[in-house]
Parts: sequence; C-alpha cells; structure tokens
Amino acid sequence: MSSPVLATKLFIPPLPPKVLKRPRLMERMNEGLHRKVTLVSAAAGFGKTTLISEWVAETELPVAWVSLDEEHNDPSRFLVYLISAVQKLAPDTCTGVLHSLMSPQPPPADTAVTVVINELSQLSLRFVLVLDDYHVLNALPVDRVLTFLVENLPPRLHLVIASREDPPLPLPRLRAKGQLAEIRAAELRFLPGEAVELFTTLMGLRISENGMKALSARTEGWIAGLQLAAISLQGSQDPDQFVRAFTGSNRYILDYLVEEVLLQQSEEIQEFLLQTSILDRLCGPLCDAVYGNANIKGRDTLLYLERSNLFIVPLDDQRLWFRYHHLFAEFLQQRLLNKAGSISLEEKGIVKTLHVRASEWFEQNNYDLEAFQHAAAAMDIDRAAGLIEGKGMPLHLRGAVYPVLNWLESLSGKILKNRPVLNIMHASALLYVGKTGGVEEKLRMAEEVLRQEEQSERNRDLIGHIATIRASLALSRHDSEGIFLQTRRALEYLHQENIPVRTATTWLLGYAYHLSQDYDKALEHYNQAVLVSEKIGHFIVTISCYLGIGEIQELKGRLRKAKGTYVKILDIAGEYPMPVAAEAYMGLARISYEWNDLSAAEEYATAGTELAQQLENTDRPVACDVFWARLMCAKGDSTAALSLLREARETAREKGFSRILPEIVQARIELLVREKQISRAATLFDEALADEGLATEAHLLLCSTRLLLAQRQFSQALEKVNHYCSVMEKSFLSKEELQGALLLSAALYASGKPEEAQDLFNHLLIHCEAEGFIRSFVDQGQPADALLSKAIAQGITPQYAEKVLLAFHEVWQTDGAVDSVTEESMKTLDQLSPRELEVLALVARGLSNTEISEKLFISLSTVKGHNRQIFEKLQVNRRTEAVAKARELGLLYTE
Amino acid sequence: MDRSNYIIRVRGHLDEQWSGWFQGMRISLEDDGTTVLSGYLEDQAALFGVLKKIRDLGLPLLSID
Repeated sequence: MSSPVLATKLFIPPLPPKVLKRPRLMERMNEGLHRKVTLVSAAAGFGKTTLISEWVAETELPVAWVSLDEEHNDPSRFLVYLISAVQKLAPDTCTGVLHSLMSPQPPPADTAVTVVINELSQLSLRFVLVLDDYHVLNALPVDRVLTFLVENLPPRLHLVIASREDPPLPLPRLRAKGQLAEIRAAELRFLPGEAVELFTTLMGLRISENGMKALSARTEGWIAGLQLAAISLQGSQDPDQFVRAFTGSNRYILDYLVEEVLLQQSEEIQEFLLQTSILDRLCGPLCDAVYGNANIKGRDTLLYLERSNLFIVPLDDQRLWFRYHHLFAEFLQQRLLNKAGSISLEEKGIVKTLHVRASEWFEQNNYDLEAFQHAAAAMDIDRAAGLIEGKGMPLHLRGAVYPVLNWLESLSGKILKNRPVLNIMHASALLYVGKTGGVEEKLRMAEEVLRQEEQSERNRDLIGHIATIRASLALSRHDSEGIFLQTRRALEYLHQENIPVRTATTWLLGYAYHLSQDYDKALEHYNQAVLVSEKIGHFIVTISCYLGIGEIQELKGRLRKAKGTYVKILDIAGEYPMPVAAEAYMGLARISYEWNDLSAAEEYATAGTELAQQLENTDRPVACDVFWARLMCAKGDSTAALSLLREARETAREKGFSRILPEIVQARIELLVREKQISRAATLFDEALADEGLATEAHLLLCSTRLLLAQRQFSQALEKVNHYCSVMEKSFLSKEELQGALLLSAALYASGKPEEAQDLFNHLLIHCEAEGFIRSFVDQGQPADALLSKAIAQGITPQYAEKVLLAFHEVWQTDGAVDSVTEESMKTLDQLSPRELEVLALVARGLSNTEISEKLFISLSTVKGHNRQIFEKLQVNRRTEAVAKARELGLLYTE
Repeated sequence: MDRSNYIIRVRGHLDEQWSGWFQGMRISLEDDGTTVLSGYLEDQAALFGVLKKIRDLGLPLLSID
C-alpha cells in the first residue's frame, strides 16, 4: 500500500575498476570506529563515497548503507530506509515498527525512532551504518531524528555520515566528548604523490613532472578535477600541451574539463549522456524509453560508460540500475538546459519531453512515486494530477502525502483554477494530514469549474468525491445532518467502480447514524465498509469502522465483544499503531476499569494517551484526562483527580470542545459528592445548568439525582430518575441507563422502599453478570453493599454478587473509613438548609447582612434569623468563627 | 524587507551560460580569476538557494556581501 523501498538506495556502491588505494585514509576510517560517529564532510567531487566504499570493502564489520535522496526528507521514509538497510544484516529487527511506518498513517517519527534505537540496542551484532549524501536532506524533522539517534546511539552501532555540508548535529559537543571522527576536504585531497599514481600507474598516462605539478596546483588536489583531466588526457597525443591549455585557463575547472571529456565521446554518446542526465537512476529499458535512438542500446551504453570510468555508479549486483555521479549529472543537466534554451523553441520543450517519457516508463513499471515526480518536473500538470489520483487510491494515501502536498502548494492559483481534480486531491491530502482549514475553499474552486462543464461520467464522479470530502469536514464538526446530506449526494454521484471513495463514504454514513444514535443502522454501514475496505486494503477505513463498532458494543454494555473489537484494531494497526488507534486503547482502558483491573486500565490508558496527544485539534486528549481523573480517584488520589478535571475543563473551553464538557462536569460532580463536598458540587451543578446546552444532557440528569441523594432529598431524587423504571424491559442497558437504574434503586432504598430497590437491583445484577460489570456497582457507594448482601442471601447471582461485594469492601475500606471531620460535616450539612448554606457562602465572601439581604431578596431580619440558625448548628458565636468552622468542615466552596 | 542586493564571489571564471542557475544574478568575470555574482535576491530563501547551487557545483566560495 505504501511506496516500496527501492533496493537500489540500499546498495553499497562497488569500487570503480581503477581505484587509487589510500591507506592513510583507511587508517583514519578504522580509527574512527573507536568513536560514535565518523563524519566525511567535503564539497562535491572530493571522493567521499568512493573513500567509504573502499573502506567498506576492506573492513571486517558488516555494513548497512543508505543513499539518501529527497524522498528521505519525510522522516517516516527516512526511518523506513534506515531500518530496511539494517534488516539486510539483521532481518528480524524492527519488523513491527517498519510495518507501522509503512502504514498509511505512520506513527510520529519521534516515537518510532525511540523504538528503533531500543531494538537496535538489543542486537548483539556490531555493525556500521552509512548515510550517504546527507546534504540532500533539508527537513527539520529528519534532522531531529538524526540528532536523537546520534545522542542515543546503540553501543554496537557505528555511524558514518557523508555530506557536502556539515549536518545539523551538535558537532562541537560531540568533538568535545571525543565521540566524533572527521575526515574533511584537507585530508581527502589527492596529495601530489597520489595524483601521480592516478595518472601514471592507474591510467597509464605519460606526463612530465612539471605537467603533473601544474595539474596538482591548478586542481588543488580536487579529485573530480584530476580524474576528469586524466580521462581527457587518455585520448590526447600531447598531454603537456593539454596541461598548458588547462592551467592557462581561468575558467571554472569543471566547466572546462566536462566539456573536454564530452568532446571525446561520439555524438550519440554525448546526446545519450545529456538526455539521460534528468534521471536520478537509470536502467537500460528506461534509457531506451527516454533517449529513444535505435542505434544506441541503453544497457550496452551504461556498461560502456562504466568501463570508461565515466562517472557512473552501479546500484545493484546485476548492474541493472546505475546513477551518474551527482556532480557529473549536475553538469550534464546544465548543458542540456543551455542547449535546449539556445537552439530553438521546439527544442526548448525537449527537457519536458524527456521527463514525460521517463514518467510514462515509471508508470508502466509501477513506480508511481517516480512517475509522479517526473511528471511534476515536466510541469505536465494533467499527467501529474492523473498519477496522484491513481487508480482509485490516491498517491497521498499510498505513503507519499508530503511530495504530493509540496507539489500542489508550489502550483500557482492560475494553474489550479481550471483543474478540479487537483483541487479535490489537494483538499483530500490536506484532510489526510489533519488540516481542515482551506479544504472548503479548494472544493469550491473545483465545483465552480465542474458546474460549467458538461456532466460526463467523470465529472459526476468528481462531484461525488467533493461530497465525500465535505462529509469528512462535517464529521470533524460532529455534524450528523451535514454528513447525511453529503454522503447521500456522494453515493448518488460517485462512479460504481470508485470503490476506495465509496467505501470511505459508507463509513462516513455509518458515523452519521452513530452520531444520531441509530446504532443498528450505524453497525450495518460499518460492517459493510469493513468488508470492502479490508479487501482493497484501505486500512484507515477498516480501522475507523472497527472503532465505531467497538464504541457501540461498549455503549450497549457488550464489554467482551467490545474488547475483542478493540484488540482486533490494535492487531491491524500493528505493533506501533497510528494515532487514531488511541481510541482502541482508551476503550480497553475503560473496559478494564469496569472490570476493576486498575493496573491493566492504567497500562492501556498510558498507551492511549501517548497516541492521543499526537492527534491535533480533537478533544481526545481531554477525554483521556477525564479517564485518568477517574482512575486516580479510584486509586485514592482525589486531589490530583480534581485538579486534572479542572485543567480538562479549561482546555475544553479554550479550544471550544463543547461536546466533552458535560462529561467533565459529571466527573467533577461525582468526585465532589464522593469526597462529601456537597455544597461545592451543588454550586458546580448550578453553574452547569446556567450554561445553556449542558442541562439537557443525560449526564446532568444523573448528576442532579446523585446530588439530590447526597443532600438527602430522596423524594425529589426518586422523581428525577423514575422514568428509568422502563429499564426492566430493555434488552440492553447503556452505561448511562445502568447508572440511572442504580441511582434509582438507591433512591428507592433511601425513601423507605427497600423491596422495590432490591427487585430493581437484582434485575441489574442478573443483567450485568455475563459482562462482568464491577465498578459501576461499586462506585455508587452505599447502599450497594446492603443490596449486594441481600441479593447473595436471596441466591441472586451469588458468585457474581460476592465478587462485586468484595470489590466494594476493598474500595470503600480505604477512603470509606470516614474520618471524623467528614462525619461531622455530613451531620452539619444535613442540618443546614440549602438557604443557610447559601447565606453562609455569602458571609464567607465578606458580605454584610444588608448586602446579603439585597442579594437574596430577603429582609434583613430573615438574614439575621438564618445567621442565628447557622451559628447554633455550627456551635459558634461569631461570623468569623462560623466561616472558619465551615471551612474546616469543607462546607465552603473555595476555588 | 529581506529583499537585498548581494555580491557573491567564487573562485574561477564561470561561464555566462550559468546565469540562469543563480536566480538571475549577474555574472561578471574579474581579472583576478574570480567570478562575481551580483544582484537583488527576493529573500533569504533565494539566497540559500544560490548558496546551495554553489555548494553543489563545488565552486570555491570566497565571500558574500
């Protein structure tokens, strides 16, 4: 599904047939092994790659090699290649992380690199990793990955980096710690003796001592210059004449020498070199397609060039793929452009034509990314657009989202304006990397053009795709109506064979049903989309569907099934899953919590939170905080839980995550009630009520009942939850319904109807036994213990009830051993009326009696009456004492 | 306000034909065997583009003003 790893980029360049032995530098390379990193840093043409491959041929250590290029500016791809190179030595290492890096939604590189380092550290193998051409990388994320790798380098790994410029590593620090070996231009230059050896021994040239001196001086030992000079001299009758002309010229050495070398080749070979210089890698058939001269066979020419030392590097053992030496290629390209520019307008198009031919060849041979890159280089917009679109599955869903986005963003508005496909792909790629801004604008541009065109089959399909993207936008706003509207339109317009987009649309439709609580319809669509997406390998859709399915199963109280679904998601997502898998972990955490397995819950929640934090612009990290608050509370740290919930609320408000606010409010109220801070809980509840929109939620109904029960207003509590009586007839209970029913039984019990309470409670026990609910019963507190004991005595699910009761005692023993202050505050709280509590709160805020009377619209004498009551109940004589006592008892709400 | 005039000096005489590679900077050959690239560059990104090209061609860079 993702772009494949090209073996040619992992191939260790073999030594050229005639190579100068450089023992002094071999020595330096060997010494470098005592340090962490060897840096070979020098300008183009200083023989960096040759030096390292010479050393690789000599060293006994196994070597992994990556020839970097622009593709590796994407940190995931960088790591993919790094791992693939190492796997040539140790096939079993990092397989999990490699798998997930190649998934459509790879884990963040920062996470993945940690895993890679850990796994590499476990290898017993001592080996070398070479990163060649590091200078082609100019992306900060990759630099960060490299820095992290170097700073945490596995002990048995030695890193060799070759670059035209110093890599952005903390080099001074590495030097100071003696961890860096360096070989730079000064060492790489050919010494005069080496130059002589190259010319005479290796190339068999006869050249005078003075001529040699002049050459060395002119090139300053620059290897590319010396080699070009030697190649030029091969055909020369009078080498010294050549040297004189060369040293006399002020021209840039390479300009001069490349021209000399080219002129010695036949015209056809010259033309071959120029025209194929646009290729990053070459093979016979590709050259034939690009150059297209029947007299010249691509493969033979490549082999000839290699034999002739013409700056060509083989990329595999079979000598199928080659590349030009970078410096040489750059000069050839420059000449090609100038030639095209100087001759005629028709020929100006030649560079474009060459790229198009290359693109066609790569496409036919299924190298989609390279096909796209050449189309982009040709500025053949329509071709590139078609390649991005792919055969249904767009290129950006196949591991090339950044090249695609970068290209699209480089295009001018004028080009984009008339090309609906590009705008649609742009919108889709933006959504894919989680950016919703600008998406609608692109869709509008596409639509404007489509509206003016005739309604072909193709245009109808595009209109359908636009609707699908709009449905995704609606999804990010949790707007179910919007999703219904757009998916309906999409399914009507999308081509029957556009299966990837159709299946994504089916999932979106399922999600809309899910949002509007039509769970059966939601499941139906989810299951349908799972079937298709699994078959075509559209994993994002598969995983999204399973998440929806799991959530519905959980909601219906089918904990065991839900667990199975979440586990399946993690299986599909691989060992190092993509961020959306956070939800699967959190689901497992919630289920473990319900089963009172707090350590498992904590483990899952840790993994889930880590992933959720990588999701941008969603309320998921906040949802994790809410879960952690419950978990902390269960573990007895309610202070931390409360402050976490306060933070969660701030974040949710700040970022406008209003959907999650009721859940936060509910968690806070439950926690405060549990902590017996009833007045605080009541204030919080009033605030939430005043906040329009929250009051209607089922959450708040549960909160108010709980609060009324805590305030011992049993009949009112009973009234609130009475409609939950209907749960007796239901085939399944949602989490909220179960909680409501449990509250109802508590209310019945407290209002002197213990038998009714027990009946309901027993019903719930029978209902919940199969799925093993524990915490829902336990977290309610009293009178669950009494009801459980009674159920056991009555023989209702005795084993299960026993288990729950055991958990109840464990939980409530620790913080249920009510301390004296809380006990006293409970009593006092019972005695103080709500009005008195209200007056007390105002007293605490320093209001005078008159002010209080004005604020509460009551007479001054009534206020004084309340005060007397308060003083009496708190057994104090003064306002200040009352406030102090109330604080001590936790009756005052202080934020 | 990044747009500024830059003068870049490299060693060796560079052919006129290279001018298209340096963001339209003028190429002038000096008597001392150096080449001076001069002209306005739009911003820092353009400057680094030019410097990268100089690096990739292995041109010995002498000075930037």
